[in-house]
Amino acid sequence: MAQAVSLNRSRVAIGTVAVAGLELAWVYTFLYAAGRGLQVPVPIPSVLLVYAISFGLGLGLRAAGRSPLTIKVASWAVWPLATLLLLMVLLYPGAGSADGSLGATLLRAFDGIAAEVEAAMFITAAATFLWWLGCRLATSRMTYELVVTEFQLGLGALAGSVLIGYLAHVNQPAAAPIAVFYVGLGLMGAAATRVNDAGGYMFSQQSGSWWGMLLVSVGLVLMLGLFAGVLFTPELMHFVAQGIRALWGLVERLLDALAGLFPSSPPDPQPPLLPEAIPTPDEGEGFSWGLPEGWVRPSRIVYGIFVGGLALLAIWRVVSELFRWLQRKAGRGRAEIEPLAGALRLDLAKLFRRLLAWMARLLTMAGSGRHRPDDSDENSSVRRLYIDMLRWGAKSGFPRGLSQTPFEYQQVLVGALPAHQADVSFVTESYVRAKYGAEPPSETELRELKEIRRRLKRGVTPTTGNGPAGSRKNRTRGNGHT
Amino acid sequence: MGTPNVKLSEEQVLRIKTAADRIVANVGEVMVGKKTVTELMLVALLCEGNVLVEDVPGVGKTVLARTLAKSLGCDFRRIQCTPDLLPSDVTGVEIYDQGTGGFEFRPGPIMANIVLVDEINRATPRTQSALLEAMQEQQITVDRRTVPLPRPFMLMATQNPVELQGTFPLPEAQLDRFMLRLEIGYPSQEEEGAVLTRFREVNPLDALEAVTDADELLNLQKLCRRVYVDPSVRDYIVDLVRATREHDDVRLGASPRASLSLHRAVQALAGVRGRTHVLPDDVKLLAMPALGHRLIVKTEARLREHTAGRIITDIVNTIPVPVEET
Repeated sequence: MAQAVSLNRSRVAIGTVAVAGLELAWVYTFLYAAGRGLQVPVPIPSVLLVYAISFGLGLGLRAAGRSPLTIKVASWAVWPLATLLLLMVLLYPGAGSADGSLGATLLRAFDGIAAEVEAAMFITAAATFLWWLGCRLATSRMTYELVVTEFQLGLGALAGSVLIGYLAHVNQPAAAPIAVFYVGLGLMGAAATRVNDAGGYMFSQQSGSWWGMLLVSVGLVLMLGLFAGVLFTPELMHFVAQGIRALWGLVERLLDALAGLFPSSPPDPQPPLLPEAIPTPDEGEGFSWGLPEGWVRPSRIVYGIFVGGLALLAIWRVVSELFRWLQRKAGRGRAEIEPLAGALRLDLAKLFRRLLAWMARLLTMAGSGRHRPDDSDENSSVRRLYIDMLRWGAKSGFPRGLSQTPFEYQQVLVGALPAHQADVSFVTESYVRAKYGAEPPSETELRELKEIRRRLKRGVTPTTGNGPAGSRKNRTRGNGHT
Repeated sequence: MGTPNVKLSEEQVLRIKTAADRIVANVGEVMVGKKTVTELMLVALLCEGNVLVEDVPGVGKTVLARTLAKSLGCDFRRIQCTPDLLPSDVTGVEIYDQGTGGFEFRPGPIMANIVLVDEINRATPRTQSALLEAMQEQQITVDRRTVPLPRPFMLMATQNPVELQGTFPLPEAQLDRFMLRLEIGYPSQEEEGAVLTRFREVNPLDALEAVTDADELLNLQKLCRRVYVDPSVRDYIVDLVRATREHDDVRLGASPRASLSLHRAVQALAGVRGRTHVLPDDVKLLAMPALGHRLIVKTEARLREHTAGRIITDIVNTIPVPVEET
């Protein structure tokens, strides 16, 4: 695994600008295409402002020395206020802050996803997503991987937006400049963040000079563009577009069938000019299979979030797997081999497995209280803690490879983050015993593990002589791993 | 219904580890810097498996085998293979006894606890085949007589991968019967210097004492079979073996016998290292010795220098290890 290389302030700034530009570019394209396609008037520049506010807030808190968790909590505490303000400015000028119906607009926004699209929903969803992006950028550590991930995700989203625009017959006059702007930013960010650990002959020649790397990258892209221009003729593109249109027809039918499962809301009047209250759905309507009336609205909101999340997940996975596939084809290391065709399937299978496991756990808890010997509460605690550690490691820039064993991953983490050596080793050994040996941890170990969990979440380094390393010396059981 | 997965106690696993440490240390009195290879040979012995040691001449294949046999305090025989070696030279013969008027069985060198078959690929296929029954069923058949081999039994064969003139490559059926294939490798500069010092005046092998006996080994073999293998690790083994059958560069993948061998070997390795349970690290470590020699690589892949070793490495670096998903 490649070690993360620390970047100086200017390169971090360049990378941050690049990532922000990438995100704004594809979100802008998406909002433009979707807004026009759905005939919803959206003042895009005002919505994009949310991104800047969220990022600025996060950056300010970061400069004040707050932890990432605090920044996230504080940021999301401000989010409803910012969204409400946005709605007040864009849709309901003159509305009073004490008006409760404005708050109901937020819920109505998600409520409408499964049935119809309206400006309030569109603006709220877009603002929420941009708020999340801004907050995330403020708390992320700038790395080459981050830039590349943003680039690949945005590339997929850009392609999706262009496709939406094409299907909805939306003229996108700014598509070409945005594409150039997008690729340029991607190359700039990649060059600035990769300058110290460049691989390959051409990049290694430019090591230390990000301008050199940028020029090499631009040259390569231009050559690729020339090749693509020869290969992708208008006839071929027309043929592909026809295929996509036919496929989209199928998807539309599927979505209609899904939406048909939920009876549509009665037609809502247009968002009133506040202070009029926003009308609620007719009391007489409900689910045909007799879902209690009070559950209909929350169910629709959950359903809307689920559909939106699934779509995002699908885009993310497909693009990311495509990128990995390209990496493998290019002979780059570190790429886990996983067939592209199965990427989304694997995600769905994973999701269902988790749901099943969760339900099984609930049933076990509600049942006789008997537990499998290898799945005791203590073992579950250790496993959950290990998952926390995996997430922490990934956030620190060292995600676990699929084919890495816990001890191999421990070596990576210890090598990269030596200050956490004792904690990482202790958690790994406890987890290995629980997972592969079905040996639950002792009370003392559990207490230490909980303390480690708190430390890792706070990002605190264990104090010498008082951490688990000292305790481990007294333990009789070892993993005998060499 | 399978055997219940009964776990070993800490005391029992300590017995395995103590004995293994003793044997490895004793072998280390003669062999310099070959701890892992010794450990793996011991693993094969504890699983009642056979070992193929494949390396260039002069790296200590025969010395290692002899040292291990002497440390174990077991009956040891050596068979030097040549093209004119006959099956009866290995298994033994029925000789007519004029005194009794009947046939008397004269056992061959295979009737020992540890048998070293040196340069096995120099024997003819007919003689090599005579070893098949001994390796798999731990018995031999001479004329109408079936004779069980003494327990514990382990066949250690050596072969030189470089000098192939006048040799008979082992058939796949026979290779599959070797639990592990090991390579010894050249010693490092410091190790080679230590070898010169150690063998300067006397051969330390002459003064080597046994540190265990056949009875203890039989007990350890039974204990090793009870080392706990979590279902997730068992599935990981199966995934690895199945991946060898589905790999694009492989004409013939590893057999179910390979799965069984790997499963037993990881149990023994965990015991030798003092654990009551198997880790995925054990599986990774033993994947190459247990599976590498069982693959038949496609010709076109061989031309691209995609060796069995590289394929196993690819597979091990590809198959997800059973760890919690985030």
